[in-house]
Amino acid sequence: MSVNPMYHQTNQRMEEELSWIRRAQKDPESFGPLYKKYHEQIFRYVYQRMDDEEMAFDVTSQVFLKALNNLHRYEYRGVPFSSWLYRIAKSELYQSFRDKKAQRTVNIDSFQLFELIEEFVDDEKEENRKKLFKSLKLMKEKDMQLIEMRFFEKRSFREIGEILEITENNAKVKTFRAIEKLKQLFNTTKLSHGDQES
Amino acid sequence: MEIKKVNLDRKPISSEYIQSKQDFQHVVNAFSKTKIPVWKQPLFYGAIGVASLATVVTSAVIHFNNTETDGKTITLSSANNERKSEHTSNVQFAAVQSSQMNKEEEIEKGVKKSTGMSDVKQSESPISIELDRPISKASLASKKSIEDESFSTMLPNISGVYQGDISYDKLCSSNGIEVKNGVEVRSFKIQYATGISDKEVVIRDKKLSEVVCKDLEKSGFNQMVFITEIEAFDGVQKITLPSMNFWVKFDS
Repeated sequence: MSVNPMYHQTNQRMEEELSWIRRAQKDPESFGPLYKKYHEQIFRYVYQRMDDEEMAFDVTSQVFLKALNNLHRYEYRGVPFSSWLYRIAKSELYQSFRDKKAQRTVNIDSFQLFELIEEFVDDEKEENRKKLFKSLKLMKEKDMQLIEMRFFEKRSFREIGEILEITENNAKVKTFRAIEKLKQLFNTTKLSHGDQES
Repeated sequence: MEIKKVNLDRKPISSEYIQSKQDFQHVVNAFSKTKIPVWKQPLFYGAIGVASLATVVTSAVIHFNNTETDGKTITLSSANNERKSEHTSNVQFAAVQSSQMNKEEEIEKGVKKSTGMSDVKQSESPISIELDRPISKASLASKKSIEDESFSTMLPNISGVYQGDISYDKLCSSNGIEVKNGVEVRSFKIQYATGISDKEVVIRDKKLSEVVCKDLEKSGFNQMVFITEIEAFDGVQKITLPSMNFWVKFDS
């Protein structure tokens, strides 16, 4: 499985990023390069989890505003600045779900679906697709976000760990468990007459 | 959180479109609006509050110290003036004698002397400036220690103990309640526990009676003993001394 290459950076890039952060801590206008660099990544992360495009843009703006407001508290811990932005984005997303401004949605494409079904069964029948759809809806949020990040967004375990503030190994274990839970749900889920028709 | 919807193959959004939606200026403007001015921040009010409190406390302390010193000056200066006026009125008295003033005038001077009316006039003399100087802290402290000493001389004690822990032997074998300055204890009341009930005995002596000591010995446990209504004679009149309480110990 190929992983998101944008997240992983060279030390030189990280140092350059850190100098931008230092400047932005003193002058908000200097936050521009960071905004340009990460706007798309953060938007995609947000939009992946909701249905409304405009709302996704609003939440993304809110993420950067919050980042700018809290930039004086930012501490460099040897990980890309984006992991900090992702954490803010996660919090803003959940806030919008709580406020009922947005609806929690899972966005998946056919190829990703095929990959996922392959983990459970050999044949990619329409019935199995529907079963997987139903199982995904039944998943708990904490498990769903691991599956989303690993299978739909192709993030490395290291990146998942840094976003969720857990170790890389822990991210691996938790993702494996989440897959197992999804498998269980997939095997126990029975399609109703209505599900089969839709 | 419930997953409401699963979308399959949603129309992807291009990077160009996302970039076209970037509006950094909007974020900066929103940031400058949300930024609270320094004077509206809780920290600012905290600092102002602390500074005000410190000012008030400092001024109160300074004021208190000044008042205390002034009070002492007034007391002392009036005392000095009394002494001075005595001296001056003596001079005046002599002058009156020399000029052979009549008796009425002498009486008037005598009244002036006793009421201190002459103080006002005398305090205007150059000498009074020197006398009205504020008292130094050292002299105040010495005055206080003298007062403390005089108070302590009036404290009754048994074998040098006024209150607190005392051994049974000290309590019963000593000369009883003693006071400095020749004050003689005539009677007192003692309250103690016998083990069955509390007992209150009036003793017409400065020593504890044998009965009381035997009772205490019989009870055999460490207990609190109250000595109250200590009547004494200071050579002139009957006085009541401060009460005492002891923690009588058998084990030491």
